[in-house]
Amino acid sequence: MNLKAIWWKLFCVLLLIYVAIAGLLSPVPRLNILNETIRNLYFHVPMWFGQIIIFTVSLVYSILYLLDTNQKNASSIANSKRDIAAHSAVTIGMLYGTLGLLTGMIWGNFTWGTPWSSDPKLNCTAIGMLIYLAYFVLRSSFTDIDKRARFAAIYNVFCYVMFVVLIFVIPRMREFSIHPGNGGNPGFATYDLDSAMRLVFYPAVIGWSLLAVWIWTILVKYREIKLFWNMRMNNPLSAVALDQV
Amino acid sequence: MQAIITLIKKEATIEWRNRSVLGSLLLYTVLTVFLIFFSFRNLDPLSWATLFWIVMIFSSVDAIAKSFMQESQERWFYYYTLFTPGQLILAKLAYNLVLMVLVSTFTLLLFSLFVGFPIHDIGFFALALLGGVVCLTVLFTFMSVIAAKAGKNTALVTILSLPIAIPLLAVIINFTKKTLVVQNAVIYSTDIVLLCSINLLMIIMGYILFQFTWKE
Repeated sequence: MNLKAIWWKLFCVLLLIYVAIAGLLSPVPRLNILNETIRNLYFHVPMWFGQIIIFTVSLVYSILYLLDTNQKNASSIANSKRDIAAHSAVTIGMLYGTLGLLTGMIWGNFTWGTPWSSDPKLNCTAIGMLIYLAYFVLRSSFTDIDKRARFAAIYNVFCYVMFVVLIFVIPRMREFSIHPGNGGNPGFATYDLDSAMRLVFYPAVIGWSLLAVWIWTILVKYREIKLFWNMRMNNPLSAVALDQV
Repeated sequence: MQAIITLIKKEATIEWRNRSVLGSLLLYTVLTVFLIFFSFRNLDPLSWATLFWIVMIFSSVDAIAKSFMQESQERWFYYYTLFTPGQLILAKLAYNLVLMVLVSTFTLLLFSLFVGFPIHDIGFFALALLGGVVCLTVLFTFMSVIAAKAGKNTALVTILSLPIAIPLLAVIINFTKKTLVVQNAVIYSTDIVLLCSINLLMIIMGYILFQFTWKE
């Protein structure tokens, strides 16, 4: 998919307009406790889909970076771009994670009576956020750009793999969740008998995920221009031309 | 193999010549355990298991963080000419593991002295201890490589490894709590499989990723 193409951005905008209107106006099942907060399903859950997708993008760019470094021209322009792509993906993932947490806390406040419970999913999310906050701390403690890129990539690969394995493997992280669809709780599929909610939920997942990718491409472009502009300013004789960006 | 043994010998020699580092580490452990004794007096078994591992985490960060911090840039260049990255990381892991087994035994002795020893299934507790120690050793050794290259900041080792250590500790403490009473060995099977596979995965990941930290 050409990321510069306009059709998927239009598609994303249309989907999100549809989600905003249908999400707030379409009929939903009348349920105790949940009541109208069930509409948060269209905004809270897609944040986690978007976050996982964008973190996976970051992992892929980190692996590509490491594989290329291992061969020859370690500090090529292509490699700097890969580092920027991985770093920006983590930034967007953190943005989505924060939004997911906030929407979840509002929802939890109405249904569970507390914004933060000791739910396994919340704990996993907290650990994930801590890992990626440490990623930013690690980046900021390097002064050399190439070294920073390499060690950030190494940390990213190690932590992504460990995180995914740990949250899926550890029993304590799976059982007794009060989230719908976990630990014996009925999921939303059981409530939504006529599947009317699916008509909004699936477009919402696709729309918010596409939006994450879109913001990511803009952030990558911005950081690339900034990096190469600085290189140009610091060294006017540098072979790097801005049209290579 | 010969290279690994030489490296381990070198680590032990440096440790011996610089005994005050190990001494301060042990003193730190004594102080922490005494603090626990002082603030709890009577510790119930479940808190015992949790506190034991929390003390272990912070003693082991201090013990292991220095393993790559003490290497100067010049010595890295010297290593490039002598060893492969695999030999270096395996030697460091082996040496740190021995050091950690010593530190954990010492911590355990202190705990039994001050706050008691509520464990009844000694054999499986030893297994949990060994599994947990391997886990922490591999994690901290690998993070110490990254932190050493990021400017020798010891706090960075803690910041980088604790998010991963939290779920690991959940597994280890769960295992330790089961050994508080003698039980049928079958209930340990999932814990043992889980710990072994996590350890194996971490060693493989660390071994592969260390090759990338090697080149300057």
